Amino acid sequence: MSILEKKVIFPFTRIHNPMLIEAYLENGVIHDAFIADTLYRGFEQILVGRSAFDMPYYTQRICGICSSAHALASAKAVEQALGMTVPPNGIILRNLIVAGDYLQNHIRHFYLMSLPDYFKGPDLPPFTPHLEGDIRLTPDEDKLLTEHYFQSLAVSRDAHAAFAVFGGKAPHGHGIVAGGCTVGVDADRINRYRGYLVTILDFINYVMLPDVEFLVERYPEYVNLGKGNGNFLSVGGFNQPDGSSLISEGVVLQDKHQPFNGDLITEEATTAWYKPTEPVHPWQIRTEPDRNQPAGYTWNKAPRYQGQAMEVGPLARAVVAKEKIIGYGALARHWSRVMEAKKIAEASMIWLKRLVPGAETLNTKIEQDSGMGIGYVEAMRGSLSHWCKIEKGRVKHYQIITPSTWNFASRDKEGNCSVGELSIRGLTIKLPELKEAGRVIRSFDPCFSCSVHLLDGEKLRTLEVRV
Amino acid sequence: MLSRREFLKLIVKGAILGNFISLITPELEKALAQDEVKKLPILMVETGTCTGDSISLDDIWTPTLSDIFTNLTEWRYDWTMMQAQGDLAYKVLLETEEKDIQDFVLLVQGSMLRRDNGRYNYAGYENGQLVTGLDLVRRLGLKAKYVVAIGNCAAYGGPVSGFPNPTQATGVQNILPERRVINVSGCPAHPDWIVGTLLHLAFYGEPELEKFGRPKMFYGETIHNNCPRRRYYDQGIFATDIGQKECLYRVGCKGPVTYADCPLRRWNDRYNWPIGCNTPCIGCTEPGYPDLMEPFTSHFPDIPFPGGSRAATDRIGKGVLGLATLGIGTYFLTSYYKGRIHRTLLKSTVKGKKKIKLKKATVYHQYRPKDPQEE
Repeated sequence: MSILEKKVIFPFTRIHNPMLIEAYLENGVIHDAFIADTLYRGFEQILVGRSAFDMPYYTQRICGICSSAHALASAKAVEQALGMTVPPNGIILRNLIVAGDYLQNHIRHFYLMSLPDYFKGPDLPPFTPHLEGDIRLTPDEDKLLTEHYFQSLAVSRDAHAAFAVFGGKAPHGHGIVAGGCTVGVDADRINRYRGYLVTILDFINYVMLPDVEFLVERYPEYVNLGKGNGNFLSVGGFNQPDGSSLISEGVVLQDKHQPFNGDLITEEATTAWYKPTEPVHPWQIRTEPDRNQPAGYTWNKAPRYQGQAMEVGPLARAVVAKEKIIGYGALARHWSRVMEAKKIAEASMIWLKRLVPGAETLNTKIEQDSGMGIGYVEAMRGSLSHWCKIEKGRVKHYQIITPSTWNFASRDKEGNCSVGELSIRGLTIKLPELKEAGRVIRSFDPCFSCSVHLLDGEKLRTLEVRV
Repeated sequence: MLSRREFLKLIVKGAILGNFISLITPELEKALAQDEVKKLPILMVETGTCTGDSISLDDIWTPTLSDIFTNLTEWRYDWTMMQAQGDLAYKVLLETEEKDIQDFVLLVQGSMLRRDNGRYNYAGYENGQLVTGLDLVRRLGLKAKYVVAIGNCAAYGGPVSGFPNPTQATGVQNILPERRVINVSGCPAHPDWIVGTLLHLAFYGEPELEKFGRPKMFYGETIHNNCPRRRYYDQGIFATDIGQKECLYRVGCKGPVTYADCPLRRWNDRYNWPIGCNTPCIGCTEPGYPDLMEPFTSHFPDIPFPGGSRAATDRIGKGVLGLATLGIGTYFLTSYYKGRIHRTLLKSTVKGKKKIKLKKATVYHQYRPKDPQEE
């Protein structure tokens, strides 16, 4: 019997917020790995007691890179709870705001977060010290990708500027509120948004698509390296005024397509730093943080669909919608992400034409002051759901499951692990600092600022304001 | 030898082209080798944050990030940018800490979580032990040349410290009382504020700070003072709901109490900003955000105290009444002390010849406490 070698990678850089990987290697092959989130902020508890209309602004502060998705999910939850209706123009405007954020995220994720795993880059910080090994590019190609890297910075900030045309500022925009979007539509704004969009679309078509295909050509085995467990989930996104949506909802359980049913989602905490709970629906979950939990290793809870761990993200969306995919591994996820960026940029062009200048974009009338609502949104990196219970205009219960909680959940009672932990099992490691595992894990676009939050913790102290 | 003028030319060229490869010219390399151009070593530590400030920094319009990396700073340690991972990455931090003591700039992003001695947030791994963000920031903070807290979380605790503050979050200054922390506040901080402050540190040292530790050049005036909708306010024309084009004061705008230059600077390509999209300012650069600024879209200050909002609003109402009573009382007392009431009474009751002369007041508002600096 061979001895397992333990390897800890922390900080796991180029994702959002702290991620720790504890891998157990057997003769250079990952036998088992634990992925832990080491930051806990307790947003769900902070949200309780606040005005329902503040939710689209406050929940954005959960995540810096997918802020608008949180705003949209909470706005939808509040609208459902209070019986609000959104005018057609408002629906399109909110789609355009989130589309700007999507494009920003996809471009930034591909170039800033993932590409440094595949190219060397210039000899200056933050590229040095280089993560050496397995770079299959000539110096000229390396230089070209470096130029694209810096070009992508300019294009992704254009995407955020497009967001800000209707969203006020980015990140953490102001445009999306419960009831619609606060900005009116006029030719000036449409013109401005269109200008940014043309630049972005050109970049996707002529730089980003060739780049991802170039990587697929140079690193062919990564197309199917780091596969998930074959379960995919999408809750649907980009609703359109005619009732259809651009991203379809659905579930794939081991090649079987099923309609999505939100009641089958459960959450549990057995191996996380919370007081242990049975798997229950997010409406009922009562969890308390407990840093001294002996079985705990992460702050991520364990969401399951029909008891199964699911993969979410652009690849999952493509599988659910039966679109073209090139595989199920790391580079296949990147490829799907780039194709999705193209699809959304093209759809935004059509939405721009459907806007009616001068028409209503916001309707703040409410039917009742109490109620329960759910906001399902396909965010940049997967399925995002907000459950919100409101009493007399104030939040009584708030629960969030983010994409990275799906992908990097803690283990459940039976010891089943998440897609993220499964994907690096059996990976042969030859390079320093588990570089291969980094390539696989970053293809999920993990965002750990999102994935941790809680519900009902103990009351600790009263309001403290430092002046 | 490279003169300052030539060097500036190079920087301008880099900013226009945005292409750093054409920028590393032999002259610049020589200048860097001769230590004429001192680049600022940067260590960025992320604690309880959403990384919104990193994303905001990526949105900088000018100078470009390539110019910042090449000419202004040595962007050594930043989780969202650096290529290395694991121990290889952490070694950069340790080496800088050892070699460039009192020379590097520590950027902190995210609030300091104090619960359980900071075990709710880990930021490093040394000798088989996890290091809490709290310890790391304190350790590096005492060795850094400047400590810059970016974002409201790092500056004052921010949204993470909202009631009931489950992680006992606070700002960096509170855990580093020994030294001054430069607060570049905002949720997120504007990229110009971050890089402008860094450039000031690189070229001219510490900028002038206002009372909450923010650079005066960015946080010197209230939003209200420079607001393009100020004329509506002055004429008393107020919006009745969000999404309207008039002054948003009555729907909860916190512009009058928020110090920042958003109205002039604006966001993302300088086209739009929160009030520009018909929503109120939510006061994200101020200490006390978000609890003192909520609800964001209502006029009355309403702090989510335990026990419900109504009681809280009543209490605030009583507080205001108390303050008003105190103010009026003080006015009368001062007036009595100054003899003003006496004179006024005399003036109104005594008529005719016996009318006494009134002394002219030399200073208006005599009863206002004097500014100690004036003396």
